[in-house]
Amino acid sequence: MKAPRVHASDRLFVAFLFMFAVFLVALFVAVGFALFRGAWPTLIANPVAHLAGERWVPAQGWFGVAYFLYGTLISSFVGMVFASVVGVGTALLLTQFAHTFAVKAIRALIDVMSVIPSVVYGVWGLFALAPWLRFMPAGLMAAGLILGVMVLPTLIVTVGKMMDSVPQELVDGALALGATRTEKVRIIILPYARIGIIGAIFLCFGRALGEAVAVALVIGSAHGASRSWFAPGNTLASLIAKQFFSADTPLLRSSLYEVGLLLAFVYTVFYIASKLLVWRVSRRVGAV
Amino acid sequence: MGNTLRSELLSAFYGKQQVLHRVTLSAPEHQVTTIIGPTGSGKTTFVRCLNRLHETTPGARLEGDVWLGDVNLYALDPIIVRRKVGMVFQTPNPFPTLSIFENVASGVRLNGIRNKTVISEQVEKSLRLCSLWEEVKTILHQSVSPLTRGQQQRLCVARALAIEPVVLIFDEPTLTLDPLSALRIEELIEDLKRRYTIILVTNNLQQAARVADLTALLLNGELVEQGPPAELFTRPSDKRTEDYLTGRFG
Amino acid sequence: MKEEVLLAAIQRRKVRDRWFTGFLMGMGFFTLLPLFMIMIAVLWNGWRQLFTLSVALAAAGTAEVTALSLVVSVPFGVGLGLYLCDDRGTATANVIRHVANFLSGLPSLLIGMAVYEWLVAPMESRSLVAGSVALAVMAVPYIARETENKLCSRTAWFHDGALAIGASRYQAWTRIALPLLARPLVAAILFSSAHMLGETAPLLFTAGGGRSALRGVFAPVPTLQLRVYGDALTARPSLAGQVYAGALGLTIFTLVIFMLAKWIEYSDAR
Repeated sequence: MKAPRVHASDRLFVAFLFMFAVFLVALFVAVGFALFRGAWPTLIANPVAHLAGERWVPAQGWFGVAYFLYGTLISSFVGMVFASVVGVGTALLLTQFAHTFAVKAIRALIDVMSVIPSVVYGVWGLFALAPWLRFMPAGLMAAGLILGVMVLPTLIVTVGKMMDSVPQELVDGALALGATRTEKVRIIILPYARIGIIGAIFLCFGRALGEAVAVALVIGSAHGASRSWFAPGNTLASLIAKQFFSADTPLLRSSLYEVGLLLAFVYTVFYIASKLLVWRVSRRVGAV
Repeated sequence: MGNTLRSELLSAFYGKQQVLHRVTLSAPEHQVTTIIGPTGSGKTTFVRCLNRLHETTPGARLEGDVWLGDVNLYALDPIIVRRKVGMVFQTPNPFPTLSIFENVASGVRLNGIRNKTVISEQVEKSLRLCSLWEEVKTILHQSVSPLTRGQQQRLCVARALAIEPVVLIFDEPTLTLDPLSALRIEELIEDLKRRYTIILVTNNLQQAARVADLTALLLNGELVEQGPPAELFTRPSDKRTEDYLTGRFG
Repeated sequence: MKEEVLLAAIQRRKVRDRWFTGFLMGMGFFTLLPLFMIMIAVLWNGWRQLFTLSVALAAAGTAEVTALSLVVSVPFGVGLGLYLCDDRGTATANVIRHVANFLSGLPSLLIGMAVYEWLVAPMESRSLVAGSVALAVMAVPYIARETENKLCSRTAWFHDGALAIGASRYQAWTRIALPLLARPLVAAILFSSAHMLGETAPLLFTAGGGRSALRGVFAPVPTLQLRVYGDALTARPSLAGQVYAGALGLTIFTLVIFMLAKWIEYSDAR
């Protein structure tokens, strides 16, 4: 690849570009290090026991996050169930069922959805959606629905890419047997793109977990922890968003950093899971 | 007449670009009609019009008619057309997520047949027709990936046969195969012509000479000449045919 | 296979196809419904108090924070994008790409916390600069990815062509690739800005509040995002009009930048 004689300016340029890569890694390390430094006081004491337990009463020194972890997973799960059904359906509609003006229009609108600020989604959920859905007061369910709506644009685009990656000759093969569009989706598109779609859902799950602002607005204020999906609660992120600002003791602040680390850990799990799935798909595509 | 496949003044377009110009061609029953021509001359587009796959491409459009016997295919439901006119593609395209058995059965199932014995019989019959049965009968329910490309292509032929079409289109079926596998596909085509109307697209003149009963030459989307291969290859009546055959282009 | 049986089956299949198509159209409707509901709610409830001093001040603050963060994130983001594109396919570049992807998906709240630890706590005050840094940390991987996508998909051929006629890699990028791609690059930066405007969480602990914009880069700055969030958190219906006005301002701000980006991208594609 490399020519035997390299311009002198070239080596300099490559080194210059590489500097940016080093910078990014430094940024990554700095963010991680800052979180660890913030959590250090409680982290060195006993990290696991400190956050174990069900009750979060900082004034009495109780920092149990079980309910918040539960709230995080449940609200994101609710959101992803909603977003998966609607998002995969919409992606099918866009990639398989229409090739017209409608597709362009819908895509443009979905693009607009993806740039609407998260706080606007939260405001809408709080003032417009919650009173409208009277059976559903602030809580995990409401937070889940807002999360679902928020990840939809990303989900549709990623899932759509997975569907577009199904080789045309397989689609032609199914059509040549006389398959209808529905049958084409059932026997070719969905089985072939299945793993990629699941990967995309995991990726969006990871995104949903960390959303703080919109969730903080619609999840209500939790005085008592409740397992109910319809009662006010908190997620890891909304807890930080609400309490970090007014955290007046070093112990509480350090505990919140530790909650942040836990959130980063949960995000990492979903990130890695989604990458492994997508990696498996790309390997299979290479093999077939 | 019977099962003669005939295109009448068929023109095809992608957007504004016209790729076929008023092609009129008959492919009689129990014969192999080969379509030859250089890459990009519209051969694939032509055959995709015959089983109405052309219209599934975004922006594609066509004029003219295609007749099967005395039935106008463009007056029928495309799903029925594609069941009557089977197709085998350039690259072997077995469905990678299905087993060997399910690949062949997929078309049968699509046609609303649920009876397991009927499906198994149909699968076995089709695989035998493609002389693939002996090779795969022990691994029927396994994935298609261990099959060679030649075997995969014969599996695709079996898949097309299982829904009992009356016309079979082969779109350069041996393009990506090794010579021995290609030969087996050729033998298979010779064998199948007793039962079906066969159209074979090829860029390989020797292949056309070996298996064709009728040959048609397409250049830049126009049908230049058609006739029995012996005549077309030895006494071309059109100057362009001669140029093509002697390798001046293509 | 009997012909009538087949025709009956085909009828059944086509009916099923129509049902499924209808179902998918319903899903598409459900996707777009929230968008229309949000737009109507924000416009209807927000326009009366849109043109007030506090909205204008907060908008100015948002513009300052975003602009300052672009000063940092654009050179680093574009540089990183160039690196990823230039070194494409190597193991190092793949690792770097993973790091960038990971960072761009990391809950942005955590980035706010990290910047709090590094800047706000030592300086003992939230500030314009801290808010900008938080946004920039978020934006760098995003801009890098956008740059890589925009550049790499389109430059491979003339980049290689330039190398083939003996240009150095430096010349290939600066003389040939970048000038041709100035417009998509501007579009990528605008997309990233719209994306940044959409994030409130990184500003939460870093940008602060206050009543007036432009008291210097080390002073807290009011932003639309924080104002809307703070007012909404009280959940007082009497504040709803004010909250909606801020939300409308923020939405308009974001959409104008987004449309501009789309327009540049569109005019470049022709």
